[in-house]
Amino acid sequence: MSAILAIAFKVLQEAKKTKPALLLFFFVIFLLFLFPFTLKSDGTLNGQIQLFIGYSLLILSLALYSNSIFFSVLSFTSEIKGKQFYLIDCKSISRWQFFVGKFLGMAILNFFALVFMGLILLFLILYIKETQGTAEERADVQEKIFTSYQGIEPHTSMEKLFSMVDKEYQKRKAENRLPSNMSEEEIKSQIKSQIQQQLQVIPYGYQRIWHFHNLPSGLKSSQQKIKLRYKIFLSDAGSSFLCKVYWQAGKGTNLYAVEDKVKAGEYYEFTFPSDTVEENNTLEVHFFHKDEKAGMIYFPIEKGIELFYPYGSFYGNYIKTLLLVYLLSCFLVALSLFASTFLTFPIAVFLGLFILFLGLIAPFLMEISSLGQGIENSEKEILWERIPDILSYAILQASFFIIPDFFYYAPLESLALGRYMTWSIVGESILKLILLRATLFSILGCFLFKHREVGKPLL
Amino acid sequence: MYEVIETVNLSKNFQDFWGRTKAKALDKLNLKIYRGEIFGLLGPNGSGKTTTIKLLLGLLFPTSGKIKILGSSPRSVVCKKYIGFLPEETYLYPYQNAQEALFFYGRLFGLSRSVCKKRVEDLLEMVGLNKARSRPLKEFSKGMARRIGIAQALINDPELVFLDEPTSGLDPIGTREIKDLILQLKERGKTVFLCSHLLSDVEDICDKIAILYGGKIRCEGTVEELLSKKTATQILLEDIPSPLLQELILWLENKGIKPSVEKPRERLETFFLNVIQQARMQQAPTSGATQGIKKENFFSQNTLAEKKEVNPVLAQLVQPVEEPKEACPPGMDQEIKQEEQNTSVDKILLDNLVSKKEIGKKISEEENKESTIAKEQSIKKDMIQRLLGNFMKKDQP
Repeated sequence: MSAILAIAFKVLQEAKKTKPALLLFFFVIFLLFLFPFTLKSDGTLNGQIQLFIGYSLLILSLALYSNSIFFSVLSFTSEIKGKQFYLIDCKSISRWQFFVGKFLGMAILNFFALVFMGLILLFLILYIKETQGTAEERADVQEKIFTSYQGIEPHTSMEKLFSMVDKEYQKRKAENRLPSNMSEEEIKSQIKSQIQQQLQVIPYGYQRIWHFHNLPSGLKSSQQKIKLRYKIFLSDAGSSFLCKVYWQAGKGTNLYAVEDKVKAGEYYEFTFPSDTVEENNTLEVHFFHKDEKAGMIYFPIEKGIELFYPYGSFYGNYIKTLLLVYLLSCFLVALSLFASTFLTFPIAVFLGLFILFLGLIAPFLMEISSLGQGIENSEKEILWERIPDILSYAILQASFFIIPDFFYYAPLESLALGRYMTWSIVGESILKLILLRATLFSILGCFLFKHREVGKPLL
Repeated sequence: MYEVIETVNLSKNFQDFWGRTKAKALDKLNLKIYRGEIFGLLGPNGSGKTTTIKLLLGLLFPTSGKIKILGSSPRSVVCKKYIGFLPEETYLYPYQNAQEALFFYGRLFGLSRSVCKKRVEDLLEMVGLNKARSRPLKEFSKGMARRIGIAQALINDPELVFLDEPTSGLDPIGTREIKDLILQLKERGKTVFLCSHLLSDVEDICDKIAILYGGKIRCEGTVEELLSKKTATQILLEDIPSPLLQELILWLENKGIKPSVEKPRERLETFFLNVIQQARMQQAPTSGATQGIKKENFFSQNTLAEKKEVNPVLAQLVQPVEEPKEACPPGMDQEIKQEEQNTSVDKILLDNLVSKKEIGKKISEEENKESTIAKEQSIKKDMIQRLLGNFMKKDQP
């Protein structure tokens, strides 16, 4: 263990003397101090803080990620190129211990760097909150950002849905409208998504009712505020059209109604008191379509409507956000060290940065790629004709295993929006990023490094 | 006698990415090095010396053949615990200072903090870098870096030491100190594997040498076997008067022996050391490495017997050749002990340690010694003259 700790301690020593890493570190701190005075938002304190949190966290995490890649690779490859590793390899230390020592050193370094920068950022957030804006704005910030909210989607009765699917299937069968090249399961799946979409569509003059179940038991009497977040699309109007919307939350005597004008494709929120929640911890929300010019109103299936209730504090969320950023940086360290075991400095750094870039645009990549579609919807029946589809599917799956969605594992916007981050996402990060991916890369790296002839001269 | 290093038909080819052989660095190398030996591997540039060391240390893998170091694979971590290595160039971390570097290497061997600290102190003193302990290594001269390299090779008190060009970059004093150090390692039963271009260094200290060329051993044996001229005899005489010398040459020529007569020269190394010693006596300032001292401090920490107690693996692998000499036999004061142990150069170095009061005392002792030597020399001269006189008489018709 002392050998691993010695290597780890040396990484810290090296970091103190590595000018590019230090420069980046001080540059980020400089930016953090600069942002409160340069970033301009919608003019409200809430907007200003949201913008500051969003940009600062992004800069901070990107700096940490790129530094993890750069410094891990530099620290590892320079030992081999500079031949200092000769002196280490002839001591009683295994190569895996050297690898682990480097990882540990980088993990400690990242931890201290993140804690230091995180404290500065927190100080600046609190400074802005306490020194800028009116008392009313500060109360608004306290409610919207410094209180975290747990999101919940409307309850869908699956039994009802399946019976509707069955009914539609039987109807089409009787009318002999079933496609011959699809199985019953595939047809039912298609019908199910069609019905779900139909349920999200509200024609003029109609209303739609959503039910939210399993709300916390003390919520009704807590006298807190609940938020409803929604997004709509319009069939007949352009993006600049302002559509009148009418909402009603609650039932019976505890009713809360809201009227607003909203644009299509943008998220809107309205808040209402928690006493609208019923005794059985459910909430009923009505939407009325009263704007004839809008045509049909459509709520997207994914995140079309979400209810948020107060749950946890900003500080808990802040710690979790930093923890998630830290776990991602540790994953990148393992990946970079793995690349360093068989690649030279520039190539290993390039590989690390490339994966970081792909990780940042992973949602976009997933959207544009026909992941799985090639197989599921393929009309080719002969196996060898489907081989390219199967291969491309396997390659894409493998790629998305290596390249995690960085914004999924570290949802930075959640902090600025006051969304509650569950411990399950932290657990998932530990499991999928560290225990699975980082461990796998480390084992592979140790194996490759064990079989590498470090004393080989360049021919 | 146990083999500390054994190679059997060891070959190494360097290949390109496609597996094509680009260079044949070693070709069926067979070596057997026994415990307590100082083995010198000689050869011109590119002969395969460094490749051999790299293979023996597990930095390269053999193309074919076998290697055993202390009875196990060169990649065994257990075996590496007893190995010290000084590479051809001292590859140090420029951002560390001398103390930090040695501490780091000590910790890699799993030494406890206290043991590590003690060894670092002793080694820094031994290699003469005590005053430069806090200076960053990037500021070190090549010679100073070499000294740190040597110190790191000894941090674990190794049983087997690989030294690749140990004296390169060192001044003559440093060179002499390293040679003495290697001899002391041998005295302690350690095995030393030495690679050097400097033939005089190898000749001075090695028990066995091998000459490598083109990846093959061209010749191997003890220094005595390989270098002694069996067809000639050298007689060294004190300075004798010229007529007497002429008579001696004449007498030998009459006997059918053609002698080669020349004045012996003092070795430049000895001359240089004397000059520096005088400068040091005048306490001339220097910011570089000072002379290494107190090797005993380091070596006396772990006698072989002590080491065996905590080192069952090694006890099985090797057996002691002889009991090491005690660094400090009881009942002797430090000055006498050092006089007994050190070579003539060490005596010079030791003088520097003695306080001014003691210097006066030592000078008088030296004077006494000198007068005794002068007496002995005059007696020897008489004897030679008498002998020569006898020869002359016998040769007269």
